[in-house]
Amino acid sequence: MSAPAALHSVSSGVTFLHAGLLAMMVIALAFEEKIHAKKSVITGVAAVLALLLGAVTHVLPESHGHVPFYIGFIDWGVIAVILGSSLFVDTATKSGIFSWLAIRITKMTEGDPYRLLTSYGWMTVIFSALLNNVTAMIIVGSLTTVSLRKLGREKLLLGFLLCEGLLTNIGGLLTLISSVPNIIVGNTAGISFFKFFIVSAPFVVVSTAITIWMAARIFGVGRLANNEERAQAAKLIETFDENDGIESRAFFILSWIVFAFFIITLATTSVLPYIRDLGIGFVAMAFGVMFLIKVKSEADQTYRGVDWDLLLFFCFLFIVIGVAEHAQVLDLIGNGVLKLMKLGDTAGPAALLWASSIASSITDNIPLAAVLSKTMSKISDPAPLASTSNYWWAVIYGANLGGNITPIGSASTLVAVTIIHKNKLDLSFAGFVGKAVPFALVQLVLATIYVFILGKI
Amino acid sequence: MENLGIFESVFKRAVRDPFHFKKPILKNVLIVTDEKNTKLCDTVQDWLKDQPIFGDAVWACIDGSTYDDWTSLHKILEAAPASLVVTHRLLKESHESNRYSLGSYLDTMTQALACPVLVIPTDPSFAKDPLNSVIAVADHLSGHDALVNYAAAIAGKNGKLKLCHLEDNDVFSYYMEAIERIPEINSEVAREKIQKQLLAAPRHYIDSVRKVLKTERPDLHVDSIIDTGHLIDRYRDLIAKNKADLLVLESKDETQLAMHSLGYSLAVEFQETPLLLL
Repeated sequence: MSAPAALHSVSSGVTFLHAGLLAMMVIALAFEEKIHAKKSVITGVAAVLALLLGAVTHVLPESHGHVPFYIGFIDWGVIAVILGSSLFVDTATKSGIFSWLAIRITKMTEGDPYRLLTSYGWMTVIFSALLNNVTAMIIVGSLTTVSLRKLGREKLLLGFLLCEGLLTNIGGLLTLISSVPNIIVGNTAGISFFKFFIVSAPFVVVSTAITIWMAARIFGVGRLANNEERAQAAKLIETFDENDGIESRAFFILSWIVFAFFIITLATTSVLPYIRDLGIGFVAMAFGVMFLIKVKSEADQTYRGVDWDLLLFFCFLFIVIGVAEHAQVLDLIGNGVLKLMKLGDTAGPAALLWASSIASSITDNIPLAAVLSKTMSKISDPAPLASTSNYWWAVIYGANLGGNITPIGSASTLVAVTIIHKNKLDLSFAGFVGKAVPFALVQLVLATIYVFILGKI
Repeated sequence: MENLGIFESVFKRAVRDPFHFKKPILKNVLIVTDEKNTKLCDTVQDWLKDQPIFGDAVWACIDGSTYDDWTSLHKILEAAPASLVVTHRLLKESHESNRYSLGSYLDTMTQALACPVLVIPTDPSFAKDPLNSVIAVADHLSGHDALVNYAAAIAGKNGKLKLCHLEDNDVFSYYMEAIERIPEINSEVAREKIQKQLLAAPRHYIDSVRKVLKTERPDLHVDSIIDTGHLIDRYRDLIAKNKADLLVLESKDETQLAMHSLGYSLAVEFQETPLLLL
């Protein structure tokens, strides 16, 4: 194996200058909360500085035609998936299908804390997989707060929310669209939605079951002791009305049908004629636009719900990475990755997985996934990495599960901590790490074994 | 993070306050009067004894000769705890000079006694009418099971029970004026949504009451009014229109040692209608 081929000759001083800028951006993203700046602003400033520095150091390509060269740096496939999914999920959410399902599941537990933890745990994983992990955490976390308060079990709230936060990152591993690192790495590696699901599902099932089992023991979540307690809890939980959030029965039913079609289409994109040429970005956008018809007169309200911070963050991030690529910073990182890969078929993926997880625990896993996938896609000797290579999976598992080590490791754990603090529960940064590390270690060990098995199949 | 608030609201809104039926038991009924005889006691007993809820009640009368002040009356009331006290306004006080008052005895009684107090009008003609039309009144009806349980239990056979939840327009306007001064909030949307939500909770609660009473009191005709308006005016109209035989309302305020504000206003205003103060 060799480092990615250089685009042109760049002095090492220039490369280190651009690497420094990239490092500063990553550090700023890690301290996003402390410096009170949105992600998009941090990467926006970094993109402006990178382009200026690139121009001064003469590492940038020339624009061809009317489109500026830096627009070409942006991975529009990723943007299409995120924007389309966001439009789709936002409108589907308004139909009440997710709150209906969440309350139905809550009622099925009859208020038993252990059954609630199990149900909410699996619900978090499924919602993370089908929607995205931030939306999943918001839905399940909000319901957890309301239902545990209703049951008078506020003391269990911290354990529930923490467990759900950790499970968002496991659920985020189930499908190609469940988390942004999956979209980025999956797109680069050419992994289809269906293939992603088939490979990842066994790990997600085992890992979820173990996490819930551990949470029940660590946070003391048990079954109700007697019939009187059970009757009381069932009576309280029955006061939820799952139909409250449904404003239109027709829209509710339509949303279920369209949602099912959305998942089926995503799963079969790689085999559907014409659609396979357009990709999952098209599928997400097409379904997003289809739902906009329902809210056609107030589509502007839906646009307001789109996470523009996230989208602009991506656009700027891709520009920063594009400049870094031309300044041969990615070659520099690639050399580091290659050293890990040279450890062999067993130790290599394991080292990459753990290195990715540690890196993503202290900073955003999105730039990590973007930089690593770009770097790995440039590796061409002896041959480009196949989509079946377990190195891709090492990055995917590392980037996602690293989010479970610290509260800033992923957007969904940050949401979990926000809900915890909103409920006036005491949980410091160190407190989160102390509670989460045993879970993260078990999950990472499991992932290492799983990636090893994938390499042998 | 905006969605966090949205989902929290969705789930909070989905929690219902269901009605729990519990038939009140009136074992000892104490009639307190300032007359030196038991004439009023006999009138009240004749008026109420045929109502099913008073079927097993033991009646007692405290006439004006047995007490001189609140302390002595309180001692008597404590010595023989009652499930219901029946009395009238302005005990041992001039009706002319204290027209707009309940009188110090009744005022103290509503706060010091744990049991409900049935306030009868001064004009004894009230006793001619059976308790066919009962109106339960609250500014926040949801969750006030005791109010509904007493109102349902005291209403006569095949009677009418009207459950009323009226939001005070003046209070609402006051808050809306504050909201209208906040540029970040769309005041028209806020007005519509807040009003809708304020009335949704009592609507759900009354639905639950209807469902339960259909089984527990199938003979009772349950009706409701959920609206906004100027409270005293609306209640005056309501009582006149429905020819109310009894108004049931709450007099205790958990947060203060004084009579519930709506309870006091209504108790002072509606002097010709019997009132059951909980």
